[in-house]
Amino acid sequence: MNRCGQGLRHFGMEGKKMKKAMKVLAALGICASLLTACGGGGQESVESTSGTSGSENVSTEKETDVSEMYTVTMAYIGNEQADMAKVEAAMNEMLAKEVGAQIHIIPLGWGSYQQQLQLMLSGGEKLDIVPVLLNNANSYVSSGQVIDMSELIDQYGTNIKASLGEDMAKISNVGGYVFGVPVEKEWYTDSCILMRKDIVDKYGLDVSKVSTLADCEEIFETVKQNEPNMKIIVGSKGSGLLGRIGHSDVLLDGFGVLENGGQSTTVKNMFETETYLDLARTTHDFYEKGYIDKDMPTTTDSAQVIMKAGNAFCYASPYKPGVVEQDSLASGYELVAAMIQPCEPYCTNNGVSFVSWGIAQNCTDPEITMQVLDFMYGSAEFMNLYNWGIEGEHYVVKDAEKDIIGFPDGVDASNTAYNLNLGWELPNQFNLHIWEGNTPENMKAQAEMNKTSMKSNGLGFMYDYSSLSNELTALSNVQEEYLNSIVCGVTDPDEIIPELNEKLYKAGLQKVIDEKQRQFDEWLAAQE
Amino acid sequence: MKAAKRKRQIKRWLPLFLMMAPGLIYVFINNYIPMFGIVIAFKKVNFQKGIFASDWVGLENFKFLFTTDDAWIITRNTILYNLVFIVLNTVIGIVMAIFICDITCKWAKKLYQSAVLLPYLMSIVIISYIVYAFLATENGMLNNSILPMLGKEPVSWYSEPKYWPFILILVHIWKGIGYGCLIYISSINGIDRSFFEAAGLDGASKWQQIRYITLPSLVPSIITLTLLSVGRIFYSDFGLFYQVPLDSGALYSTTNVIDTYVYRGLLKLGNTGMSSAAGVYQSIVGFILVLTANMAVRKISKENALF
Repeated sequence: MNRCGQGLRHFGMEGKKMKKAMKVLAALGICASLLTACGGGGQESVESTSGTSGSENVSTEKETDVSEMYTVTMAYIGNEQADMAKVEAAMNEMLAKEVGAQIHIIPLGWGSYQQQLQLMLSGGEKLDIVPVLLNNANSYVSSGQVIDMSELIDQYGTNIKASLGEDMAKISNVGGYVFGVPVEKEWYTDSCILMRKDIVDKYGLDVSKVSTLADCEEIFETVKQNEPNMKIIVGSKGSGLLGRIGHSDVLLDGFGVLENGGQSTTVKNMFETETYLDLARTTHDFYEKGYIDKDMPTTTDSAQVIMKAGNAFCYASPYKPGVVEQDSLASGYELVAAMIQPCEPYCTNNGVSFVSWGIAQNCTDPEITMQVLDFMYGSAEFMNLYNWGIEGEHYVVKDAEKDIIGFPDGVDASNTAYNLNLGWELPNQFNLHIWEGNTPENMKAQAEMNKTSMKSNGLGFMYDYSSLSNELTALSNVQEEYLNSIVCGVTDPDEIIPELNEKLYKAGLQKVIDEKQRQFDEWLAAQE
Repeated sequence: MKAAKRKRQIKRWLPLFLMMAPGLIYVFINNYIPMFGIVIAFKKVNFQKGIFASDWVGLENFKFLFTTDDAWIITRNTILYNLVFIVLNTVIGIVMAIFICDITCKWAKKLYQSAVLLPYLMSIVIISYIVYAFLATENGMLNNSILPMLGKEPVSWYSEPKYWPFILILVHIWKGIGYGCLIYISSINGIDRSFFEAAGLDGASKWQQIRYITLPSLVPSIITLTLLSVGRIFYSDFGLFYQVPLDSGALYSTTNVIDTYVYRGLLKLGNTGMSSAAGVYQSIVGFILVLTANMAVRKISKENALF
């Protein structure tokens, strides 16, 4: 205080000129800083608008029409591609002709999509078509971040209904509020253990005899005896061995499940079902016998990456036709699958609605947005463009008869300018050309399995947990504490599971199960 | 007459206010406007209605923090760890600072100072893997070479909660000590050298010099640093408690703190109201603790209080 006053008096004594100069300087400084701040913002916005309108202009010659068209902004989860603008221009050309709309696609990184989407959906940012992952669906619905698409699907969803089937089109819903349209991927759950073929052949093992996890013991024992330094079963923390084997319809979160792939109608605690306890005991037995990698509970690498290192024999994986070829590529060894089926392959909401395409509440023209989305389900040409890029530039046809494509000469995965390869996420992968290494037979088999696999009683039902937030927060914390030791087989399930159950019930499991059962019964009644 | 005087005064102070303005505006935009967000903690947010039009739910969002047995564990862990951190950081920081200041060789002094600071600059993810290199069950340094050398059985570190209070404290001190040390070094360098010379002439031993000159001069820095940490006693170093134990479930009884609990619970739910409730709760308790601690300091020695 004192010093300040002195300083000021000092100013005063120096004369009015000095004071004036100071004032002017200070004022100028502030103005300048304000100006630059505004200027910067202004420039940015100008740039961004000119950017989008620029890409629109490229698309067609009929500039007046195009500029009046609604631009649908679509976010996808995946990597950014170098030639995105080019592909987008080609997409726009097609959309302008077929639907009368424009599109702008935005990539969201795998590491941050959840936060980014949350921000885009909470703020006023422009976003129309949004990928809804099953885990987020409930919160998007309860906080109104995506709109109810029920009527829009009836009105504009002709391609959607044709490709997914009438009954699947509205399956992604919470209590009738349709939050999205599911994608065509493998919808059913089936499990296997993928083993290295060279080792299997070397010791003359027979994988076709295996049908349960316990059946594998003989194989593991042989490998253990003959390859003492090899890690036999590898996997990563969180899912371990047991977590990758499907047995029940988990009804979204696993707190209360339908047993036997959803063949029952009673919601039960998963940790009290015989199937689960059996699997857990086998897993622990394998751990005790030294088949399971001791570092599994802390490993964050994927099983394929560990296999690549060369000292591992097998890992558990979901099964679909083509998975052996796909994982052989990823792990660097030829693999064979031993089927592990606690029940026959089954189809649940968790499988069908894993990714759905919804419409954000910020969307100002839901009708045209819906038409664009529907167009994607119907147009093979558009899907190929989205996933593989432009023909002749980003891919070439290798075998026209089988519809197989690959990179052009001199291009590979490391230097390609566009190769999204997100078939499982994009609306309709069964319309896509087939990339080298995969076969049309596999894709056909997948599509066939989608139609024929056993349907869970809960298919089409998704419970609304907005009244259970407190319980679910507590439950997920309790489960996290124990689950990893169980799925990796570290601790004896006969000791740890009773302890886990006690804590789960204390945290409100019964309330969640009761509520799930109530909503499920209501839904079942409404189905008839 | 009065008005004229006032006008003159305003004129006199104006340049200072103008100079202060950018900073004030910044603080207002950055720290005060977002405080309206506190209302989110008391609402069931629906973005179609907008934040302010959403329904009020009272204290509903806060419930999850207090309803289970875990509430006690996470609160206990958070507070106890932070108390230990505050005490050890201060004591070890001062000891190191005094040692480093007494090194006469200039380059050695620089070397030690940088060496102590280096871990502070490392990302916690890297540190978690350094720890993992020691503790991994099959290939870790401890289980593979050190424990067998001492004739002991290997320990599966990531499933034994009882060791983790020591591991976490050790890691935290190792990582954080350099920063605290730096502040104390600069305070010690600020002490008038003539005090030490006079004390030396009067025959005071090294210990007496530390006891009667160095420590009393450090008191203001100690109080400021401690008050700041007390205010954050309900927050915890998320990286330390989440990354370093590699999020291993078996260790939760000794590694779960408020931040990790909220993160794990809400990662799956994505409930905006509940996450802000947790934030509001932490800041309010922190605010009260700072006020109380400052009041206590003011009672004991007025000139050292923050406000």
